Amino acid sequence: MSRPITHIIVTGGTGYIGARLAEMAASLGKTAVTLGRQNASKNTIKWVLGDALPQCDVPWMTTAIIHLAHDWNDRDETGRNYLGTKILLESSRAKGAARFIFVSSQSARPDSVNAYGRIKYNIEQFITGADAASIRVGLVYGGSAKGLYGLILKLISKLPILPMIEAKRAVQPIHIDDVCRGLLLYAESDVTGWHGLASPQPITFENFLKKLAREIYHRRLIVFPVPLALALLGCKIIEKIPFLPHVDRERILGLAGVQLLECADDMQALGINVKSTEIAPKPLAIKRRDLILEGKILCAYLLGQKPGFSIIKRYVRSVANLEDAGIQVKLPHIVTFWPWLLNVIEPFNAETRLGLRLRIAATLVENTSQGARIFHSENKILGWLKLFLSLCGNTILFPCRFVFAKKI
Amino acid sequence: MKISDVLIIGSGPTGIAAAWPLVKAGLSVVMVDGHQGVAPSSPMMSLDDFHHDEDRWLHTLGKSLENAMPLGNRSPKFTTPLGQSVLAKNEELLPLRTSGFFAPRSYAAGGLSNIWGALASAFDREDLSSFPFALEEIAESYRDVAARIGISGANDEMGEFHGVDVPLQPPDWLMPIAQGILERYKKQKPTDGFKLGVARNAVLTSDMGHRLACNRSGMCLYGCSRGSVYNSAHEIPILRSYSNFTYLGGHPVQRILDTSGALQTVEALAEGKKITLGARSLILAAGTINTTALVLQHYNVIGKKLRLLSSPAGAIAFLIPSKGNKVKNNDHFSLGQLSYSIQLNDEKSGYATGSFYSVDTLPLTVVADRLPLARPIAMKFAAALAPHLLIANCFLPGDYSENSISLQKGWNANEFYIEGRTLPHAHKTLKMAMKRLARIMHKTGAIALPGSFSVVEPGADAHIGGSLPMSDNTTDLTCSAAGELRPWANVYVADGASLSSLPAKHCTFTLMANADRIGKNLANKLLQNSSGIAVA
Repeated sequence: MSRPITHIIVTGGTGYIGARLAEMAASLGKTAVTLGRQNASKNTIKWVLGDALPQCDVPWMTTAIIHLAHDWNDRDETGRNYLGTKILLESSRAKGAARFIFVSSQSARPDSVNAYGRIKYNIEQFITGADAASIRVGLVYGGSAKGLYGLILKLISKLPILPMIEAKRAVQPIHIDDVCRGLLLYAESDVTGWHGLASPQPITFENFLKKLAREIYHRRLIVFPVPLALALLGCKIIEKIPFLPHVDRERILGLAGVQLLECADDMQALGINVKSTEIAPKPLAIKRRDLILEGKILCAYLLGQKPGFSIIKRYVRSVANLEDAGIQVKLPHIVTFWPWLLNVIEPFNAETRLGLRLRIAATLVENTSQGARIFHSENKILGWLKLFLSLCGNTILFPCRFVFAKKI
Repeated sequence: MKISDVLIIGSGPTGIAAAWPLVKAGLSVVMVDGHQGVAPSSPMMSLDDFHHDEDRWLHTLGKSLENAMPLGNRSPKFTTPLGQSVLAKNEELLPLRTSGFFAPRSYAAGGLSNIWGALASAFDREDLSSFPFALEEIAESYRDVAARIGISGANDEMGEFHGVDVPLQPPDWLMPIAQGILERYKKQKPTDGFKLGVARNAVLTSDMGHRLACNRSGMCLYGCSRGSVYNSAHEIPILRSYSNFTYLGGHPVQRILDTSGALQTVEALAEGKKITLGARSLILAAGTINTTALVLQHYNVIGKKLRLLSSPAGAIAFLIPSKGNKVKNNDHFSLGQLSYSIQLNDEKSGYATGSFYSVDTLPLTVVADRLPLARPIAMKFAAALAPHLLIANCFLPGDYSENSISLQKGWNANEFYIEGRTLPHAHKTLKMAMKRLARIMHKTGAIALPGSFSVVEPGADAHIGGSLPMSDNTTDLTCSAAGELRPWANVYVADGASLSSLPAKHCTFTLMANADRIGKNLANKLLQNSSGIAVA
């Protein structure tokens, strides 16, 4: 990070991020020129997507362009946003600008469900060369109530119950001030390709909304999960009702398509310690005794007999590597005596805490001679009969598993 | 600095294949690789004994138990401790950043051939249509490589697909479950655009030199202790018996220094110290990704994206309920049993291909994961089902992918960046090909298991190449028909990077034959030059 940048030119300079970015750049002793659709202030030059970089009195050798403008009405993957960015990049190179930063999105993917993500991805494809980089930004919050953040605030302030698609979807929020600081650092760096600007630790969208409601409006928000199709229908209906905030279908789809953005290295290199909206759970001390007991129960359940000590040792070693190793699986006390009762409460989803640990236990058990004797026994007629009976038993227990698994 | 005639980077199958003709021609050859550490030993026992072995977990899970965690949808050969020790980590030399792409690359002696699934099909005239040379020019190399590595298979319905012109050993490894399917298939009316036959594997079924014939232990996944499955690392000791061959293991090449003059130099690490190696000709055979990275670093243009082909791949499981599946004498084999090819009916007229694998050598959790039953019963059920299951994989041609590899500026140093991208309709095409396969296989008594279709992460099938393609046009970072990399002279690319296109067919055998062809041409050229000098 050694590139001297004295001036920045911000497109979309009157928008949610752009306005704050210009403010922050000025406070850090840089001169900011904003380009926008309206002549909002004396430092704003009238410009729309598709225009070349206008005449500005700046030293181009130390000027960076930060391109934030996006036309939401354009849904064409090689439309106005695509061509406009291309023109902007070419004209900034022609003028000899030092750096071009394209602000992309966490949803930038070739197979993104919304056009926004696909457009951003397509633009990233020509942001190449040693002077340019694309920055994928997470869910931005904080500051003035504009943009997607403004929409979220409107919703959580008015609706008593918030119907939400993909409430469990992990998002990576980042405060607007961190975004602006990060973009300026990226402008001064000489990295190329795409890089991330988001909280490295994701939280669920539901928790993020609840946290915002609690902190800003001091109210408890109830999030009601709805299927995507219903939400899109809801959007259409809300449009017809006056006084309710208008929700764009593109924005909803954008939430549905968010994928995990790997940005821990980038955030570390930038030196930005993201203010995560959720107090990061402290890593709990691993209680070996609890893990041993847990391992004994799970392995005994899998084997149908008391597991050998070496299996338990390996179980403790494997689970200790997990991030949530310190958290015990909440098992009813009774399974300590009758591990087979786990049959009634085993979750269907192998990604839950109990599901994952059972999978680990199964892998370990399979790779022992004790496990091999049980699983790889010769299947004579009696063996098949036994298997068939336990299959029937399992089917009968399906509803129980549905009910009880959620409580673990 | 010691100067040799030829310096070969990489001891994988292509490096070794290129080395043979050069060494035999009497030229001085130095081979360098980045081998470090010791690969886990291969268990010497039958599958049954292995199941009941107390130390089995060391081979399946690894000493530090890292494989007890689920590892995502990758070929099982990558997930064993052996696979993990062979694969290079992204942070290792020539640091790599990937997005939506699993980058298989290796520094080990023998490279990725340590975990080769050993399918050895030759490209036919159509497969080679975009290559700047004709089939005749590589036919001899196919034969020579086949004779050297030993290939088993049959010239049946799929014979022409795999290549008829190579010496074959009988496919003694065929298991009864696959044999049953093949017999029932032969009784059916032939289906248009579909072929099924015995797979063709670089596996010995009769002893050859110091390598022993397959004893059907079924332990292929964990490394063949008898050397029946071809691994180019086995040939290093034989090459070293030639006085004009030098092997420098554990010397990872850091960068190419100079390729502008008559002397080509590279910088390597030897016990932490930088050393310079020089030769009149340089052959890059470090594997597609490592080779491309070395070249991009040397070319030094930030942000230039090179195309990186990969075959989109998927898998589907079949249940074959038959009494005839019972194995005799505990005979197992976990590499490809049968191969098929299927015509694709979309705008890119080509074919998809794949092989059938037996399941009883795979970890039970792989099958149990897909059953909605409670774990203990799922495990028992998986064990009972496994002998009656076959998994078929399916590959599409590489032009269904749009991956790119480029050199980018990172925070501290330059880094290589691979972005994975599959064409939108690739998954649909893959699904349709597998659906068609399921319909045809149904006639042979094989039932496709509902919900068993899965797609492999781009790159995770190790069918990659084509980043520095051989081509007739003379743009930079392409190779001539002789494998010579433009814009430099005397730098050759002998691995997957130089493929002109990537058909759905397994490409390793072709890579070896191509490396052999490049080695032969180079040997002729160097001998002619030196005799010219002698005359002058």
